[in-house]
Amino acid sequence: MIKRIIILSLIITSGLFGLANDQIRFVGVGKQVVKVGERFRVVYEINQDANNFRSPNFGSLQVLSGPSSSSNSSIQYVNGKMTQSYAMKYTYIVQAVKVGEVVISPATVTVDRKQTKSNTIKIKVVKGATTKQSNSSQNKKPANSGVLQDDDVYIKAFVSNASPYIGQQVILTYKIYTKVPVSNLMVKKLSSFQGFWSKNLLSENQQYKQKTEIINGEEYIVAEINKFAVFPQKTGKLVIEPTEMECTVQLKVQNTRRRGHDPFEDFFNDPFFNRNVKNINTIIKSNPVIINVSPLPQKGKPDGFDGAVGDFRLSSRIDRTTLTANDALTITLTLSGKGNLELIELPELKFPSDFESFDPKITSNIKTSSSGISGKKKFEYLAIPRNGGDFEILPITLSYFNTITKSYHSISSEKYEIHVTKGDITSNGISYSSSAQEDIRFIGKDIHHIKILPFNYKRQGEFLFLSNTFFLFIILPIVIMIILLLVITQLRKRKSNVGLMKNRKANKVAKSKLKVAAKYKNDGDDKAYYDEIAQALWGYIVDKFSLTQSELSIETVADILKAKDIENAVTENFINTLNNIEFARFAPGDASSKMEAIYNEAVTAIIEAEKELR
Amino acid sequence: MLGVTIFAVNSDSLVVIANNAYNQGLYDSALVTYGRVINKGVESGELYYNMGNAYYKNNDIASAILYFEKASMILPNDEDVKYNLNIANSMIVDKIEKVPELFYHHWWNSIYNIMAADAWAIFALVSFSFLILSIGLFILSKKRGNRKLSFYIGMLFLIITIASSALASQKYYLNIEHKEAIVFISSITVKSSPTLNSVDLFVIHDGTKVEIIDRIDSWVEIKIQNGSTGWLPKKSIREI
Repeated sequence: MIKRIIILSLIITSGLFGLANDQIRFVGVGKQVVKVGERFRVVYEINQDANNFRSPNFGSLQVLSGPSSSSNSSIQYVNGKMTQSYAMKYTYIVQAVKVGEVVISPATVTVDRKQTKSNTIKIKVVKGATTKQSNSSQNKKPANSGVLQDDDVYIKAFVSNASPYIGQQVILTYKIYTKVPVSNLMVKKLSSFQGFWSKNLLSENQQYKQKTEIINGEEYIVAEINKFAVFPQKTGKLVIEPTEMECTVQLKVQNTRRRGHDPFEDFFNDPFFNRNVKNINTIIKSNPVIINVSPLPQKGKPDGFDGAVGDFRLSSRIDRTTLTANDALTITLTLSGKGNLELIELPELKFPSDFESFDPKITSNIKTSSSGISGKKKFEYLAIPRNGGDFEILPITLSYFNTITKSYHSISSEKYEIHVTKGDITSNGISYSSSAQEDIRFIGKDIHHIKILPFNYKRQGEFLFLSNTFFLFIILPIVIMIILLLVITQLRKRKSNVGLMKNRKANKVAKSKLKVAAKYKNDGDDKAYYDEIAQALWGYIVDKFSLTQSELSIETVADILKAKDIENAVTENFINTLNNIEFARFAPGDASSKMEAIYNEAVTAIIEAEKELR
Repeated sequence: MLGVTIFAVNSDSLVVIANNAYNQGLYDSALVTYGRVINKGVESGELYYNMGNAYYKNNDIASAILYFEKASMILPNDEDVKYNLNIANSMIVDKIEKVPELFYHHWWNSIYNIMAADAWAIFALVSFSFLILSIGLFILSKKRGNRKLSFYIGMLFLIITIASSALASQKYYLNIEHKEAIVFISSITVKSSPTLNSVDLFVIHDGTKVEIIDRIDSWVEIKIQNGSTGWLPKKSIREI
């Protein structure tokens, strides 16, 4: 009773003094629905000066900080009416850990030595993005209920083709759907395109184009936030992880506490003053995308197919086909079309080995439009022929798989015949002596090729060594040599016998000749006489030393006699006799006494020589 | 000699067929046809070389090495044989460091490898003929200088004859006794004695060349190029 009186008197006094301390209100506010891991505030507010705040039981929620208390009071005079308000806040920051419903027990404070309890707060903790949709359908509430609903804002991923071939271009689009104003859209985690080659199709800082769509009877603002051209690089089921974005959602808040309390408050709660708009930072996730990549058909797969998928054209151009050595030559190959152009490498254009060639200069002009990647890729080959001659540059062939016709196509460049005239190196003043010679580079290694006929055959296991033939060829030379030795010694013997005979006969022949000479002397035929004596002496020498007539001269006779170790006196005598005879032969008409002397001289010479030679 | 010529005519046509098969990449049929030539009882360094090539192309490195080794017995100085044997040896698993040879051993081996067994035998015979000739000249010549010269030439040919005969006999016995072999099992443990339960010494792989030191029943004692010895079952190797 006393209490009531006190309260009543308080009301009266406050009414009297314009104080609005009507009654104690102690309210706890928290989010109704939170996601696991989300941090949020739980605020207890009391409109009286209170103390002895006792924390509630947060159940499975984790208290990160708090309670932090703050108080504010204000006195307003509006149209002569004074409004005084006082508020004390106890704020907790908590985090949801488990899925489920959490009931936070009331907190208590002591006001004027009286314990006051707050309300209990029920919080529903939900899982992440996947359960969002189902949740959202269950508890559909007006968007501006002060709590962010799952279907208020979400991202959805679309693919142009969920079952492409390997290497085929797939357009992946992320769209944001929102019912509430969204700002500060920021990528938190981008999808990782594992197993894909990707290319962003939207340029940076591009303005999002907004459209409105009606989904389930509700109006959404839709914008493409990201668009990629992805090229699967392996076959099988590939999953593109969801993309995560962070954004600030502006929610209108119904200020239940003050609504209806003061008609003017509505004015101040106007969005213009931004008082009843709550900014909520939230993370939105897209759905994961599953792509079934099928391999390219094996049938008709050309050799040298290098994974090009799309639709391509190849054109080639050469700047000249006739040039002088050491001038440069440019061949431009242009690959154009739709598909994974950036991934395509043209087969290497092979120049003749006499050309100095360089790596091609590649210029890409690739357009990324919302329909995918297309464009041109230019390969500029520069080559310098170093020597004259006629050369051929073989075309290159690129094979690709056309996803529309579902078949393989081959495109080729042109074949060029190049005529190089031998340039005058010295007139250019450029010497390529260093580059003219280069080391041979080995590209591969292989065994040498097989041998061709003729072969040298032999019987297996048959060897010459220690065979009959071997022994035969050992004995054969010995036998031949023995025979040869025998024959040669025999011949030698016979030859020496002939000489001996002549030797023996020499004296006799000489003597018989001298006898004939004596007869001529008596006849007085002095020419025949000298001839005969000369023949007797010369013949003796010839027979004795096995000489031929042609070798005969005084000098050779002297040499031979000296060589035979004959006494000098004898030799001189012999030579003198020969000289005298020759002299007498060509100067005849002398007395017979001289003829007699010469005859005696010749006889003595032969006898002495015979004595010495024996 | 006539017999070999007749063989050659038949063999040549087979070799042409086999070579064509090889050129078309039909290595198996080439090997079968080469094998028919071998079965006739003839052999040829070129033939063994071609067979080695076919085995190599068939990825049978151990057989390729065996046939290249056989070819190199007959054609020890052929560049193709040497090259291909080298390449085949670079493909095998075992890399065995050779024990450095003593210098005279090295010289002897390098001379030894110049010619095949028969060529050395012919060389010995020719040298022997020259020896006999210089003996004849020694006997016949009467002048001191000539006799001296023919004596020295004779001595030279005597040494050459002895050396080449030694080389010929060494090659001959190597050929006859099959002292070298190639391992044909992809991985085999060399044992310390010719029993299965003896200590494992080391592991060698197919294509490795071993020297046969001794034979007991179905076991052979082998020596690898780094000098290690041990016992292997006979069936794990094939003699060159």
